[in-house]
Amino acid sequence: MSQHGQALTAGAVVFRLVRPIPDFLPQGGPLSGNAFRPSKGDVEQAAERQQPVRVSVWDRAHTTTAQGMAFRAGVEVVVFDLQVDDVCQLGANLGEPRLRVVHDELDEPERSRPGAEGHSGIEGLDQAPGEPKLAWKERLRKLALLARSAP
Amino acid sequence: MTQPAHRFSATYLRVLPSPFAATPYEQDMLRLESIVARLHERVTEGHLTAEQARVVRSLWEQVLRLEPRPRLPVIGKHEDGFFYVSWNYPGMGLSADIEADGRVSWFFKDDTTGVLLGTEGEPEPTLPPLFFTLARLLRQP
Repeated sequence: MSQHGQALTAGAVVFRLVRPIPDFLPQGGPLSGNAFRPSKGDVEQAAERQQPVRVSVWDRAHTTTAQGMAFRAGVEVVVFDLQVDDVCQLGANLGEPRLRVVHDELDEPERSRPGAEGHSGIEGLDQAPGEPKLAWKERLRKLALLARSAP
Repeated sequence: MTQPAHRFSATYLRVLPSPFAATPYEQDMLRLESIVARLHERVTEGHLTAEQARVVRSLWEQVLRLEPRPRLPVIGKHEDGFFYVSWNYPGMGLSADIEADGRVSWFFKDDTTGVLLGTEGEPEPTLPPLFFTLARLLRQP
């Protein structure tokens, strides 16, 4: 069982439930970087918990797509996969050591639901203090290029 | 309230002589044109503001005037309420984030040259001519 905040292991695959679903997404086209841009709610929640800002994803080793979608019941989503190794490599290429994927334990009652143990978060997607906005958006764009539409 | 009739751009009608002969690109173009043309209908349901709908439509029409067969953007709304039009392809990215009041932040990156341009500070009242100059690079291969 992974511990809260522990980095996912090499070879892991995570999926992101993108919402709101884009009004238009070209067939096979890459996502926008905005699909990985933390919301103000993500930033506020991180501040409350005194932990890094995390963008929600799910570890395929512990959560099925259906289980993940059940946590977003009633909300339309599109599903995209990311290789954790690719995320780490991107962080290295961009010189952004914050960029990593970690286990993110849910609170009760969600923690007891099927598939909850796979809840994870991508760190390093918020704009760091003093970081130029364009550099931040470029990081989001590059990450979006790594995501693949899930079958 | 009477809504304007749905219409496709003249450019698009030139691109696609018959919907029955559509390639995946042409099918996507048809879908995109329909979505952009009907964005105003989603204002009343609160999906976006009238200003956002106006800016998206204007942006798309200007791009089509400059490049009749452009790569197709992702269009959507972020959880925080801004609307975006984003071309994110290997080698190049161009995007506009549109605030509820119609102000925009734009972004451009050419991976080959490393050129990085766009709005670094507060959103701007309108997209600059440079944005549309860069949009000429968006031709569908």
